[in-house]
Amino acid sequence: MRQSFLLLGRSLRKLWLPAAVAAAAFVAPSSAAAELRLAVHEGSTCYGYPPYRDDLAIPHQYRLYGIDQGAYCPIRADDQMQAQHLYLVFVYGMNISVRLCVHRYGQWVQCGAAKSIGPSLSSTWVLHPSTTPGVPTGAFLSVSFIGGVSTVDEYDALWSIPE
Amino acid sequence: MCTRIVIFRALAVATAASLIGCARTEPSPGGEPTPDLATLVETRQSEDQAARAETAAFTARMQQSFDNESRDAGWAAEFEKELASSYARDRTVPKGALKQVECRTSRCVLDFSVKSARAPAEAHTAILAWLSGSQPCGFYLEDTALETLQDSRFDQRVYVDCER
Repeated sequence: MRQSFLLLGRSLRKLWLPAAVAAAAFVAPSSAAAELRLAVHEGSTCYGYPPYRDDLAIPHQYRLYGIDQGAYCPIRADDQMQAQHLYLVFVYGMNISVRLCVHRYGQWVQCGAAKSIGPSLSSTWVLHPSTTPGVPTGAFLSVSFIGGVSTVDEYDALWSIPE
Repeated sequence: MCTRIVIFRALAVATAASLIGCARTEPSPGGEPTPDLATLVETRQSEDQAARAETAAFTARMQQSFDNESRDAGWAAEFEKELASSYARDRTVPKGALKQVECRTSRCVLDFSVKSARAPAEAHTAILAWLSGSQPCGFYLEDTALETLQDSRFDQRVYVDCER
């Protein structure tokens, strides 16, 4: 079984990321021929919600601060890393509740169970819903800000791509 | 409406093709023939139809799973109350649009009927945001509510699965 990690975007400068990569080896599906890829996104990729209330999200550089509602964080898919092969997403932040959603354009949306991160900067991971109506065409992270100072610092999508 | 969307997509692809010109129908430099655009459009349409059939079958299974569950009176009543009061408290969702909440042992069905002065897509997004932020369970919905829009009114059923 060949497993290789391709790190896209930023380097391994955060302590939590190597831990996430190590965890991936344990949690990823053990299919006979699959390549694992980890795509790194910064919190700045997320869109604050509601979009029409600019008092609910502070303009951000590399992290998204949220005060009241939530955010949507798109997960970039392409010909190689397709939404159907997305396995889980590691999330790093504080005071947030997150869940992974997949969808097929104009047909259905499905979101997995939520997981929370408390008031200190920490990480968790959220899984792709176990059964879906069909092949998804896209995926996003749905974030709810729990209260106080809430942030999305980084989220890393782990793909398991059949070879 | 669905048919109109499919036709629109087909027209969009065909228009793009005519703008690009005939280059794509010529053999690639490697000598392999490129599939013609009519075939691509046809393939995409049949994929779409197959996906819609899969979605309808999946929704029917979700409904069946819900119907087959017995009611855990304690959990169901408490979760129904939580969902209803959370919806009533939320400032962004369309008021009074949550018409029914029914829970069983681990699953719930939520029925919305939205008649909103705001843009329907905005109301729909607010409901999704509320679902994400108000309760911990996974959920599923057919994303076709806005296709059935009539007089700024649409209906939406959501299946919540708490995997207890």
